[in-house]
Formats: sequence, structure tokens, C-alpha cells
Amino acid sequence: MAPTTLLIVESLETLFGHHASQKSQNCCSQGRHSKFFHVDRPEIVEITGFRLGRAYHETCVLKENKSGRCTKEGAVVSASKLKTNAKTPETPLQPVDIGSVFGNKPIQRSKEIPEKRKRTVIEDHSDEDFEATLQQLDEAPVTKKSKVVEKSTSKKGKTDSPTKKEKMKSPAKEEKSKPALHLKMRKHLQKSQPGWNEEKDKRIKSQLKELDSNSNKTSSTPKSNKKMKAETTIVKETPKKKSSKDDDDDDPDVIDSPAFDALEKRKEKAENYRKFLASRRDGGAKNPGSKPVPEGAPGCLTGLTIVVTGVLESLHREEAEGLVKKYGGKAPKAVSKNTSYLLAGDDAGPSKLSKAKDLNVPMLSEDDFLKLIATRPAGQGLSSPAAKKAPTTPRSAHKAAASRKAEPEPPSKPITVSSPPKKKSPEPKKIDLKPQQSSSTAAPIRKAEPISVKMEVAEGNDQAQLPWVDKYKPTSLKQVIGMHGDRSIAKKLVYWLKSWYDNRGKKLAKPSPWSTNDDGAFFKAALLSGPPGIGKTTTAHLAAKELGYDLVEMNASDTRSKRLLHEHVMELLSSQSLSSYAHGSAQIEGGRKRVLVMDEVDGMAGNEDRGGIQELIAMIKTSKIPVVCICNDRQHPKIRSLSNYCYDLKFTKPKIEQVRGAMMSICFKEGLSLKPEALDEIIMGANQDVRQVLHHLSMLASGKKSLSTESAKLEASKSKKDLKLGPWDVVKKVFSAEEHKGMSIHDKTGLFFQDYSFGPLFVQENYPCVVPQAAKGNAIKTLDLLGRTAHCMSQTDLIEKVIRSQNAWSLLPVEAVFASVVPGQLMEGFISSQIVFPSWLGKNSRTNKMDRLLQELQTHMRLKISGSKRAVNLDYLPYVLNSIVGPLKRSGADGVSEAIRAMESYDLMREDLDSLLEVAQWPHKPDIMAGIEGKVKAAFTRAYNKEAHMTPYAAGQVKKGRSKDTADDLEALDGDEDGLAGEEDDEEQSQDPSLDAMIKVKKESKKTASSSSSSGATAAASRKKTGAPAATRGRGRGGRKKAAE
Amino acid sequence: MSLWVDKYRPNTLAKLDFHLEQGERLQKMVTKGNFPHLLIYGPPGAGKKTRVSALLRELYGPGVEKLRMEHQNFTTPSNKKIEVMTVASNYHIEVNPNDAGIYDRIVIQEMIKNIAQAQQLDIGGQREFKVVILTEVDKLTKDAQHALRRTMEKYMTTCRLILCANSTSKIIAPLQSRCLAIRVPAPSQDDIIKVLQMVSKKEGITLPADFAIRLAERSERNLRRALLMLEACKVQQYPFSVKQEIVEPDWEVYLRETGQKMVSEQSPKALLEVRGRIYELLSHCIAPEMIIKKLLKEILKNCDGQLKAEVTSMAAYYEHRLCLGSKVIFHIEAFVAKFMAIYKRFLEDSFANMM
Repeated sequence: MAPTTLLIVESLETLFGHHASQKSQNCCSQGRHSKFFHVDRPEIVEITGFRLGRAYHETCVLKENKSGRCTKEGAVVSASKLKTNAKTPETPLQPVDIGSVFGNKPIQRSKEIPEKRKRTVIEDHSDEDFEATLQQLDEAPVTKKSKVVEKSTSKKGKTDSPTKKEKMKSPAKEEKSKPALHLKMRKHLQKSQPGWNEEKDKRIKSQLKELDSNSNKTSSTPKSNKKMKAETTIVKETPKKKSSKDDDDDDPDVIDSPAFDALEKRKEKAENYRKFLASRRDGGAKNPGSKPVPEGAPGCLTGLTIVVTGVLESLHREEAEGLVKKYGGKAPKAVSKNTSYLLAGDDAGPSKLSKAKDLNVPMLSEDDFLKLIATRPAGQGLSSPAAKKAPTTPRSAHKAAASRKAEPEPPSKPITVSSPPKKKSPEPKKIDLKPQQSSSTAAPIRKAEPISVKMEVAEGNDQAQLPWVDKYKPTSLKQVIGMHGDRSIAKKLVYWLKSWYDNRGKKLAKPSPWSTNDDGAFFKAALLSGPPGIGKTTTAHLAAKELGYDLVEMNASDTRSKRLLHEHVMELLSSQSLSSYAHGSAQIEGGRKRVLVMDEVDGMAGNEDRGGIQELIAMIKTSKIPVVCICNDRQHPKIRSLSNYCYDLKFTKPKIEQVRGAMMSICFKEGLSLKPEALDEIIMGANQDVRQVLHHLSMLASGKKSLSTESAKLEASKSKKDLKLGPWDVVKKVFSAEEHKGMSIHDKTGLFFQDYSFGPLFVQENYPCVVPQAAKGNAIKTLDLLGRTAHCMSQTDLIEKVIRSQNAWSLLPVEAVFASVVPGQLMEGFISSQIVFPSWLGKNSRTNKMDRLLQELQTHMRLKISGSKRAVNLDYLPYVLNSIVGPLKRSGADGVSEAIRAMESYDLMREDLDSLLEVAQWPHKPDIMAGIEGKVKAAFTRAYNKEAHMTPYAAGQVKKGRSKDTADDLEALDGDEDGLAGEEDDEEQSQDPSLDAMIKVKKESKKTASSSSSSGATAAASRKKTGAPAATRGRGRGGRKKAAE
Repeated sequence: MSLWVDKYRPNTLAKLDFHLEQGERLQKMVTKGNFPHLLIYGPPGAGKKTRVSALLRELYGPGVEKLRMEHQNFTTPSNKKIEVMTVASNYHIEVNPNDAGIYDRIVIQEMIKNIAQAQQLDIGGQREFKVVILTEVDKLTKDAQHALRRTMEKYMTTCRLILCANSTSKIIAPLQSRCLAIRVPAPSQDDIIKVLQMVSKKEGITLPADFAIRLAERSERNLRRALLMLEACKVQQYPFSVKQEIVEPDWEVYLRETGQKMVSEQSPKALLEVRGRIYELLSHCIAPEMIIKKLLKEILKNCDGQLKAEVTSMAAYYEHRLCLGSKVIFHIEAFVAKFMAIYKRFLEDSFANMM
């Protein structure tokens, strides 16, 4: 497919005049193509003038031109002619008779559709094939030449028409559409030549392939048609050249089948290699940093092409490549004729080794390599390897010739940049192929990893275009800082993920939350938590990658509401990942395992994500795939509910040393010389946030290249990540004289804003504990300062009231001054005791509770008293209480009835007495009920419960859970009270026989009480709400039990 | 057997013991049939509620004393349920909108309007209006007070309002102007003694005149308190002796002790201790104004002339601020801290002078 596209791109260019001449020649030289275009013509004409022009041109070349306007004898097809063609598409069309070219057979196309589809798949793979071919033909020093081409073409490039320009600008788009176009072309072929069908497949393929190679190679030659043709004949001994001259009638079968087979084989190999690469994934070193890297002379490797393969002793592969590049060498991924050395470590790629052997490329060990750097003189020219290579390569002549030719590289580069991300993976591949000289065999290797490709691009341009964070993103779990150990979080995660599918079959018990060596087998989800910038997301991704799971990520950029989550995940569970198809791997084995990563779950809030967490939990419960949740704040209330269902993996900040090691190597790679101490400062300044450190380093690197410790300290303090302080720290900072050094008023205000609702409370609570410096121990001065501080706090409260009541939030800075700046200034010193949590909160809620109790009391007594709540509190309270408790105190059990009457007179209930006691109790005062014996209390409670009390208010809301007793109570009210009470007592007796005596006493007293009051009780009950006796009854039981104790 | 204070509460205007002239005027107002909205205000324990209930009885007869308590439910716009207890007879309804806290406006709007809008069907033999008694009007939010304004005018024919308050200072002017304001001043000491003696006679106990005077003094012209104290003293020790200690409420004792603490020691530690005590007082729902007032009273005993003025103005200043603010303790503590600083200096100075 790719070849076609390329062709089209080029032909587009032709029309635009950039490479008009070359392109036209190019086309002319390929008889095959012209045939294609012939076939195409009727349709294409409608699409663009360009194609028409193109087709026209081809016909010219093929001498089928009926209009005879275009002649072939001219070495260069004049641009002006092309122009006219392009601008007046109709004119050349008319004279061409379709029938004369294709015959008059009817068009048949519909029956072949399924076949076609199959073919597309195969064609898909020919991508690699194409690359390989491309690579073969690719010549190294392209860039220089391309300029020449541009120049030469620009002279002729006047043919642009506006519509075409547009197309020219987006050739990438065109490229994208290549499969479609290809298909279409084929369709047309079928249409016009039904006889083709049987072998069309193969033929097209070979044609395309060849066409590509030809076009690729020849497109850039600014030579005449004829010459061009001649050249192609030389270079490629394919039978097609003949056919191109011969018109339509060629037979492609000759070369097709063997070529196809070889292609398949190669593909397979490439597949193997990719797998191998994937299994190793990284070019990690065995003992990173074990050998010192010598300082080489600048540019000492210039002209050398060193391919790195296998696992080296001390250097990462990337590192080694970086070294090569740093010293001016080239470090392609594949071995080619141009390769000077092969730097091979353990497990070197077998294909590379064999290739190197074939091409007589000398091999280097790591030590040799380092020695090479150390010993080679600066700026050695290209000469040595080139000279060495020249005789060995059989095709050097061709290469030399090709190198003279211009490659349309520069225009193609921006193309890839501007292309939409969909096609990304093949595109970067294509770019990095070009600057490299390598043989076709190793071409598919390039597919290995997008990241490495990206890095290559970046480094190839000798400029860090990617941010360092992405550039040095770990590509394996081992590279994640702090994840080396066997017991690291990453290992746990990988193990958990690996065994997830197995564990689902088992029945597992939920582990205790305190068990330390739990492997999370029970949980269906894992929760990664920890501060930002330490690699949680990266770890999750890499773990999935390492296990070969497909990863579905949802992060805060997705809306994750209940509904959407539900739908999304249902889809996920019932669908199959396309990635295995997209990767082109042949094996599609019943779907790969998948893992759902919910990133930033603590960000699931607000209206957008309503119900998200709940849905997530529900999802986890039913999930058929592992779910990995990631959050920062493990203690967030929302996360807390989630964490019950998750295997809890807490990431901790890496140690400074750990970060330092990794950062040093990056600094080295980037040529930033930084002392370890300076680096430590930066790391500490960023609070061990690796991402932050990288950002900071890259910022430093853009400026000066070295940094002293002092300036690093300064930098670190300047860039100090704004840390969130707890209120305790805030208070400490507000009052500490030490901290105030170097703090501007702005910083002090900032302290308040750490938590402006809590801060003032903390300051207010703790300011008396501060020993102010200004007072110098003088008591009067201290008190004076205290007074002024207290005044500030009073001011703070006023401002806060205004802010809250009038929504005048713009006053917050004013409050900040009064709540943190001025008190801090006045009381500057040190805090002499422990910082206390503000008691206001507790006291305030207690006040509210008391207020509620008082209100209830007041409403209950309302009919009998005239006072308001306040009057009840200040005046009535002690006296009313006294009138109830007094009789009990004075005369014990005999005072019970009096006390009850006092309560009744104020419509108080038993609960009210408790509230009364609570409100009236003052500290440092003896308990009001202290003088009363337990027996008396019990008797009082019993007696109170015995009777039904009339209240003017509905007592229904007393307590719940008593409805069970209602039936009994109703019975009891019918007059059977004694019997029932006896029964109940018997029950109790049987429960606790040891309390015999007491129960007897109780029974007696109760019986007397009940008999005396039973008539009253029934009378009262009839006037009462039914809820009241139930409550009474229940309480009665409770009271008796209390007495029993 | 309720307490004496409730037992001997006069239930008609004629039976009032003091402010007799005012009582007569009220009676006349009722008989003339010209009954405006009333705003009855005065200090606690002066007899406001007593007068109101007597007035109602005058208006509607004894039927008004058949009271029932009802819970009324309201829903705020934010869907919060509030429950307010009302006390009602057939002729009137009494409600404390303050029970609904900051949602008192809802109570005013919904309930009072409903009551006011209902017309009396049978005019014969009845007053053509109902009475709505609102208590603690000075604690109403401004919103609620404004909500009341129009209602008062619009439904004048069917509904009269009696507003009870301790002070008019927190009632907005439009409300004050719509009402006939009746001030019920605190009873004079003589009035109190008179009432005390009368109650003693009815109870059949003898109250020595000296002791009655002491009770009246201690009651701070709050008749309710005087009667409660009398009863408490009787329970404690009878017959009365002149030297007999008068039982004081605990909170008063505690508050006084707090004041003494402030005077006896001035240091950050003392400040913390006083703060703890003030928190305790506040959590017992002692009004902050009361706390400052009593503290000041206690403090002033130990101050000389100039200092008195200074401390008093300071107390007034912070009392004002605590009304403006939301967290009472901040202001009381500021007062305490300031006082400590001033007082410490004062002590040092006077000590230096003495030397």
C-alpha cells in the first residue's frame, strides 16, 4: 500500500512543480504505473485535475496520446505543458478513448469483494516489506541533496493551482488514504480488465512493490525521462522494465511468487525479533554505572556508525547510543554496510550478529568501546570507515550515484510532524528510517517500541524536543525509581496482576487489614496511592505492559459519571481489544488479558462524575478484569469507601539517594554537569517529586550547563514546591521567629491561606502559649502583646462574619493580615508548649447541644412558666431541679412521690430530668445526685415509670424500638398489670436468679405502687396517646435492670 | 405543686401587683376595643408574659387559658425540615420563631400569614381578630423582621400581633412604628418586697423585713428570681434568720469566681485558665453579654476611679464586637487579655508608688 501512496504523493508534487520534471520522468520510467493510471483515468479525472494531468502525462509517455500534444522526445517535460494539462482537465480527456485502451468488455467487480478484503490484510503487512525495500535503497547523506532538488524544481514550479496546493500541503493525509486509494485503483483495474482477476493479487503486489522502489529511488533524479529509464534498468534487473516499455501487456508472474515467499519469511523473522525485543524490552545494563565512562575528545567518533546490541555491562543501550551520538557518531538500530562497529553485549540480537558477520563488521565489547572513546583523536573524518567499506560493498557505485540524487526528505519531514496522531506509529518509523543507513534485513526491528523510536527522533535531531519527563520515562519496571527490590510495590502489583485471573476461581478470605504480607489475592482491584510525581501511573502502565495485558485507562480527562462508567465498562467487558490486530501480529488468540486503570480516582468529584466512585465500587465487585485505581490522597473520604475493596498499595516518596542516582545519569546524558550536593538540594526542594526534579533539571539545562551547590540551593529554594502545610505547621510558622527570617508579608499571608477556616482557630487557641521575643521576659510587656494579639483575633472574627454573611470573599486577605501576619509579628518567638487543637469546635457543639436541651425543657414547661429559654436557664433551672431532687435527698425513698409530683407539675419527663442534670452541672461542683442512694434513685425511676404521666405535648418522639412492648402494655392497661409485672419479674428471675432478694423487694414496692396508681394510670392512659405507655413501659424495664445492678 | 413563682402568678389585669397604672390602661384599651399591635418589652422577670396572658384573658375570657401545644412543620427552600412548637388556644397562638434558628423567616412567612389570612366566621360574641404572640422578637433575624412588616399591615383586621422582647434596640424601626410599644420596667425593690411579703403570707410563712430586703437586692429587680430564691431559702432553712445565706445559682458563682481569677493573677497561664472557664459558661448557654457584664462587675470592685472608666469602656467595646461577630470567645478573650495587661500595669504602678 505504502508504495502507492508514495507514488501519489510524489505525483502530487509533480503537479505542483516542485519536482515536476523528475517526477514526470519517474512516472514515465515505469510502464507499469502508467498502466495503472490508464486504468484509473476515467474516475480520477473527476477527482482532481492533477490526476488527470498525471494520467495524461503518462499517456504521453506511452505514446498513446491521441491528441499528440505532448511529445516524448524532450528530455524534460516542460512545466508549462503540465500546467495547461492540470488547468484544463477536460481537454486531454476527450481524445482518449477508453475502449481503445482497455477494450470494450463489460465491467465486473461485485463478485470479488470478499477476496479484496483478504488482500488488504496481506497488503497491510507489505508495509514492512516496503520499509525493507526502502531501506535498501535509502542513501545516507540525503539532506544535502534534497536542497539541490528543491532548487532545481523551484524554477519550474509554477504549475501550482490553488486546489492542488492544498493537497500538496497535506500529503500526509493523502498518505493516510493510501489503502483506500489502493483499493480503488484495484477496483478500477478489475472493472476494466476482468480477465485479470486470477493473478491480479500477486501481480498488483509485485507491481506496487516495484513501483515503490523505483519511485523511491528515481523520484529524486533531476534527469531526463530516457536517462531515468535507462538507469532503472541498470539498477534493477526486474522484468518489469521491459513491460513498462511494452505497454500493458506484461506478465508479472515471473518474479512474483518467489519474492512473495521471501517476503513472508522475512516478516516472520521480524516478528520473532520483535518478540524477542519485547521480551527484553529495555536495553538495561547488568550493572549500571559499574564502569567509569571516559571523557573522550569531542567528536572523536565522528563518521563512525556503531550499532549497539544486547545487554551491556555498565551502560544502558540508550546510554551507549547516547555516547556514540555525543561524540559525533551515528547509532542506528540495525547493522548495514555502513556500520563501522557492532557494540555487542550479552544476548545480542542473533540477526544483528549474523548480519555483522556477513558484512565483516568488526565487533566491539563494552570495554573496547570505552577505550575507543578514550583513545580516538578528536574529529576524525569519515574516511576510515568509508574507505574500508567502499570496496566491500558491491553496490557502492549505485550508492554513490544515489547519493548524488536528491531525496525528497525535507518536505516529507514536516509531513510526518503535521500528521494526525492516529497514524503515529508507522510515521515516526518512517522518519527515523531515513537518516539511517542500514540494510533491509534489520528494518522491522525498528518497530520495537514507540518510545525508543521517539527518543531516536529527538536525539537524531540533536535537540531535546521531548520534555525530559517523557524522554526519560521509564520503559521497564526496573527503571522506575525505587522499584528495584523484590518486595517493591511494583513487584507486588505485577504479581497481583499476574495471578488475578487465577485467583478469581478460588474462594479467598478477606485478609485482615493489618496483615503485612498480603498478596492481595482476595481483592479484585488494586489501589495505588501516593504523592504525585513518583511513578504511580507509570508503574501501572509498565506492569500491564510487562505482563502483556492490554490497558484501558480512564483518567480525570474522561467524564466518569455513574452512567458513563457503567456503559464504558460494559463495553469493555463485552468487547475485544483491537490492539493485537493493530500491531500486525498474526496471532490473535481469543483476546488478550486486559486491565482497567482508573487514574486519579480522587479527582472523581463534582457534578461531572457524580456517583462515579459508587459505580466504580459496584464495578469492582462484578469485574471480570483487574482494576487498578490510582489516587493521591488515600485518606479522602471518598477513597476510603473505595479502599475497602482494593488491594492497598501505598507508594512512598523515594529516598534522595535513589532519585539522585537516576538524575545524575540523566544529567550526564544531557551534558548537564551538576554536583551531587546541588542535585540533592533540588531534589529536596521538589520534595522528592521525580517529575518535578526532571522539570527543574531540564529548565536548568536550557540555561547554563553547570551549577554550583550554592546556586542550586538558591534555585531549590526559589523553586521550592509549594507544600501543603497542616494547620499545626502553620501555627508553628506563624509564631516562630526563626521562620520569620526571610519571610515576606506575602509569605505570612500565605500561611493563612493554607486553610483559612481552620488557621484562625489554631492561632487563637495557641497564641497564649507563645513566648514573645519582643517582651524579653517582661510580664507586663507579654500581657500587653497578648492583649493586642487577642484584639487582632477579635478583629479576625468580625471580618470573618462579614465575609460569611455577605459573601465578601475579597476581604480574605484582610482577614489574613489580622489572623496570621499581625499576631505573628506581635508574638514572634517560640511556642512553649504543645500546639493544641482548637477547643472552640468541641465547645461550640457542646453549646449547641445544651441549647437544644434547654429548648426542649422550655417547651415542656412552657405551659406552666412564663420565661423564655434564657430565663429557664438562668433562673428556673436550679430551683426546679432542687424541687425534684431535694425531696429525694431529704427523705430518701419517701420523697419519691413528692419528687414525681414536682416533675408532673412542670410537665417534665424522665429524660428531662437527665437534661436538667446535665445543664445544671458545673465543674468543680459535686454531682447533684451524689447524695442520693442508688436504691432511692431506682425507686424513683420505678415509681415514675409505674404511672402514666400526662403531658400537654406529644410524647411520641421519645424513643424508637419499643413497639414490641406495645401489645403487652395495652393488655396491662386493661387492668392486668399486676399479673403481667409478675410475669416479667419471673422472667428476670430466671435470667438472673442470684438477684432474688432485690427483685422481691422491687416486686413488692412495685405492686403497691401499681395498685395505688393503677386506676389513675388507666384513666390517664385513656386520655393519652398510645405511644406514651409504650415508652413508659420500656423505660420501666430498663429501670428495673438498673436497680438490679 | 408548682413553684411559688408560678403558683401565685396573677391571671387578670386587675390582680397585678405593680405597674398598676399601666394595667389599668391596658384594660381600658381592651374595653374600648381599640387594640393595636403591641410591642411589650422589658427586662426579664418584670412580668411581660404575665401581662400578656392577663390581657388575653381580658380579651377572650377564661377560654384562652385552655392551651394546647402543637408541633408545626415547615420546609425551607433548601428542603430542610424544621419543627416549631406552638402554644395555642382557640383565640390565640404563641410561637417563638427563634426556635427555627436562622430559618425564622420561614416561620414568619408561612405560619403567621396562614393564621392571619383566615377570616373569623362567627363574629358575634367574639373578637373579630385573633392574636399572635411572638416571643423573643429581638432575637429575630433581620430577614424575619422585614418579612413581618407587610403582614402586620395587611392583615390588621383579622390578626393582631403581640411582640415580646427584652429590648427594642434590636427591633427594626419599621416594626417599632407599627406597634404600640409598652415598656414593662423591672419592679422596684419595694414592689418586690411587697410581692414577697404577699406570697409569704399566702404560704403562711413569716418573712423578716430585713431578709426580704436582702432577697430583693440579690434578685437584681427580677421578681421571678426573687420568688425562686425565697422558695429555695424556705426549703433550705425555715424559719428564716437574718444572716441566712441566700442560695445563688451556680452559674453566677462560677462567673464571679472567674472574675476573681482575672483580678488575682495576670499571666498567659491565667488567661488560658479564664478562657477555659468562659468556654464552660458559654457551653452552659449563659448569654455572652451576661458574662461580660458580670465579669466587669466583679472586676470593678478592684479598680480605682480612672481604671474603672477605662475598663468599662473596654468592656462595652468588646461587648459590642461580640454582637457583631460570630465566635463569642474571641471577643471575650480579647477583653480579658486587655484587662489583664492594663491591670498588671496598674498594679505595678501602684506598687511602685507605694514604695
